[in-house]
Amino acid sequence: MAERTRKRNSRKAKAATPRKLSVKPNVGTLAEHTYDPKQFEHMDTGTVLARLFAHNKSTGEQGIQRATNYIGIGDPGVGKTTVLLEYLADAQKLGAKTLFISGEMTRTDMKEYLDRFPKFKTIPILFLGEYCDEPTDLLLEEVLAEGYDLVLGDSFVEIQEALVDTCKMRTKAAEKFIIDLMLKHNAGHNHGKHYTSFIYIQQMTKGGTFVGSNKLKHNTTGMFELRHEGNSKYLEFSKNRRGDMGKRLYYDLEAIDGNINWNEARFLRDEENREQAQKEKALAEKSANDFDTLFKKKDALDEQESEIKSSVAKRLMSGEIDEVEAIKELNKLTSVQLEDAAESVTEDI
Amino acid sequence: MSGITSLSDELFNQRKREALNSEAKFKTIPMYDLELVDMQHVIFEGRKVGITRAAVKGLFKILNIPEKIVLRFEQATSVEGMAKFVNMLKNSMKNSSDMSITLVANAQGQIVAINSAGKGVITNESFFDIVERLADNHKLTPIDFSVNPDTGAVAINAINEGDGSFFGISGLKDEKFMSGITLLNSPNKGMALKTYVNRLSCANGITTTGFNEDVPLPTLDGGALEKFYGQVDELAKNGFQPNGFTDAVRRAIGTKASYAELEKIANAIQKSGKSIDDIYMLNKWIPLAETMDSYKRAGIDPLTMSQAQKKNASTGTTVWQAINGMTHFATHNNGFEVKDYNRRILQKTAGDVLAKKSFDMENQIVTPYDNISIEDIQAKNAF
Repeated sequence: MAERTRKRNSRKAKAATPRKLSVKPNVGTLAEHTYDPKQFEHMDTGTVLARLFAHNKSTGEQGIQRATNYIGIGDPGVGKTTVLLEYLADAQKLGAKTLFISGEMTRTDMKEYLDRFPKFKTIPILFLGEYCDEPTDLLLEEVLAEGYDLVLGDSFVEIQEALVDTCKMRTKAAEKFIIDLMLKHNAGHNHGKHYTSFIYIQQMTKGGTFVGSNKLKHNTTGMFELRHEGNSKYLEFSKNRRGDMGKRLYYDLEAIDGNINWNEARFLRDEENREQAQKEKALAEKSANDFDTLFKKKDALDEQESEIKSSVAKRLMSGEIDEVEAIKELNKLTSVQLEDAAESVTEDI
Repeated sequence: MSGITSLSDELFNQRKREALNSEAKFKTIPMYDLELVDMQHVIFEGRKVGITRAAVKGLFKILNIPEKIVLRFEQATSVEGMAKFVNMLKNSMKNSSDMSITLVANAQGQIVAINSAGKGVITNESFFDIVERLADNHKLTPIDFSVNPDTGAVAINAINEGDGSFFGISGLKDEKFMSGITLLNSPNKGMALKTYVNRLSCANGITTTGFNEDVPLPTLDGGALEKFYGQVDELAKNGFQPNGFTDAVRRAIGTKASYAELEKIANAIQKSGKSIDDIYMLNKWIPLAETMDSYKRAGIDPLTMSQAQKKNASTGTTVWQAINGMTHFATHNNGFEVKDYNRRILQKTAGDVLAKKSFDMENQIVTPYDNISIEDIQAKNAF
């Protein structure tokens, strides 16, 4: 009772105090802003997946760009963690500093992955389950403070719940915390001044859609899904500010030389097919215009021929020309020639 | 290696230009915008234009009306009555106000095809892109290329000179074949790939369609292209040999053609070219005239036979001989004026005959009563 009264009084006190900004707003034009070129570097693993995440059409660069954030959802067993750990491992091989925050799996769970994909062994991992009694907010701040290029969180909801459990945060506040932390490190506010990129695996609703607020959606560069299709699996972006959307990249989790088997041939073929379909649409539009032009010309020709026929009839009636001459004139007309034209011998045209 | 002559690049490009220049134009319009006047004319956008039989059939197909019913209606009423009937059905269809159709017109402004919206028409430019991709992927060489000058419809035969495409038939040492593909693009069906077989002893070409190796491509939307390439890849695994071809050839060799079958083939050949005035001119390829004379000498006039009787009337020609006569006529210089495109259609028709589930005389058995005299035949037929 006393606690409730204390809280109520505290809220009243807060409401009574006039609110003030703690910082001075920085309103300026982008002309005055200086960009760090490092912020726009891509972490290119050389795979088709890298291209799907992001590609710069003018420079040809591809791969996850620094300071960008992605959320991925997927069917159970489709390989969300495997696919993204592979990206981390490949980026790490090329010099990126990576981190995996595991809210769902333990070290024992990871063993199965290591047997199939030995390259995952070198990825630094923070197992949240090993810090159940520690405040998750401080834990995350401390670990991330070092600065990383690419961080994978599995899953957003589990990390959020850890914050709720250990820090007594409300769910919304926990979400805000993770987003704020993300934005802070996107801006390079860490020891290594790394413009950190984040990928979060997220859970799905029963309807198969993404769980999360609009705020979370708006703070992501891209959202992707991993789905089953018969015996196949694919990854597809539904939102992507830096790369392609609506293109499916099929894959197979059966490791080949410790790597996921990406069906690059099919992806390139699908691209070619899409381009062909778009070209056909443009050609169909042109054909429709040509169709209209053809019939406008035909209308004009028909009108001309109608006038000629009328004139021939008048001249015949007036005796200016005889029947033979009239027939000769009429035979020159296209419409008469058309009626004589043989049709194709078969029904197949 | 095969002895078959491939097309030069120059000729291929020349035919390609012809196909692109003569290509029909198409436009999608709301279905209610089209009215049938009679079997030769329609009105759309306020103008009366000519229409071909094939296009009218396309309209009936969309409306799901059998042509026979329409013709009977015309006979029972009048041309105007028939047109009213068709237009009424068209406008009464569920969602007819939302339905669209694609009209295809040749350079003379005649409607040559009517298709459901967005289906059955692929531009020749896209067709050639796909042909080139297939040729690269499967190392195909074009050997025939024909263009219908009225509609721009295209037919290309191509072979793959890899080992998998040569095959024979065990027990028939003289029969050697080479498989490939026929690629067709027409304004009423879109694109299609069919298997093609060349009989090497005489280089006769046949386009096979009835062995479930018909791969259609009516549109490029919605994954249709991926499905098409996938099906072609499957056929390529077997060197494009049509499944069941060798069995069909055995059956055709072992079965006499019926009079009806011989007549059908002869008629198809006669229609394909100009100045083929009578069937005697075709005896070299299809001995229908000779067969007719044999029957007449036996006192039977085939002209008085019913179709059912013709199907049961044996001839001295095997089905295989008749098919080869047709494909020889279609593939080689025969002294008649035959359009290239019609030659390809004959090759396809020959394939249709070969792929028949059962030939007319196939289930005939020798009976104790077969060895009878001509007098007995005449006496039998007198009844």
